[in-house]
Amino acid sequence: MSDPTWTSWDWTTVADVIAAVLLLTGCFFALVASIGVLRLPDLLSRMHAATKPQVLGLMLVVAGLGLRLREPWALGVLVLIVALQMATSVVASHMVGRAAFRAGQVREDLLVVDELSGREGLAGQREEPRGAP
Amino acid sequence: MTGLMTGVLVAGAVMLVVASALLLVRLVVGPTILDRSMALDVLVSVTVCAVALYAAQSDETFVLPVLLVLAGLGFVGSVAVARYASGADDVEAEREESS
Repeated sequence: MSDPTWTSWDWTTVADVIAAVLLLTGCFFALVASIGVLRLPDLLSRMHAATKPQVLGLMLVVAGLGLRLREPWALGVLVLIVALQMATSVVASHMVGRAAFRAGQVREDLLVVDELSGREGLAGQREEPRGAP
Repeated sequence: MTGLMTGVLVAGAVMLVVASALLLVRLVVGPTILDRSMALDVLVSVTVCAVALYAAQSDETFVLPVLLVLAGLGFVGSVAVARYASGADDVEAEREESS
């Protein structure tokens, strides 16, 4: 960069600008995902849209916050937040999807591949033991 | 750098408010309880983004435990609703309403 204003920037300013970009990108992901949640036709495609702010948007926002705070213990807590979210959101999505499928609330005309309804034990009746995941 | 962060706060807050409004519409419209729980889960994520924006603007670190608790709370809510919705009695009525 030959621009003289760049030489007066220190790393604090650079980190703040990168943090601003990351925070705005994360908020934009949240906005796009909520549009998808409102407009998509059935539960499974809405869940597909809902995953973006839960994992990717949260990772971007937390990375921006870590670049802004720049404290070691805060970085530890932020890593813990992302790890917790990445571990739990997949389990929650799995349970919601299975519950929707078992209750017959999935629109079959929108499915391209349905490998679950042909399975043994699920073919005739969609009843499973209450403890099944 | 406070000027830049205040601008980021305002721009991000506008996006998050619009996102929350759209999610509230889905939360009211439904049509099933699983849709509502999923929209609520996304709303918790939007809240996490909003609290993180505040922390970035004000350079406060006392809200970090709040972020941690919110990240865990969305999971508990979704799993509890999905666990009990699988045996719900009003499934047929909800199905006819959506079709």
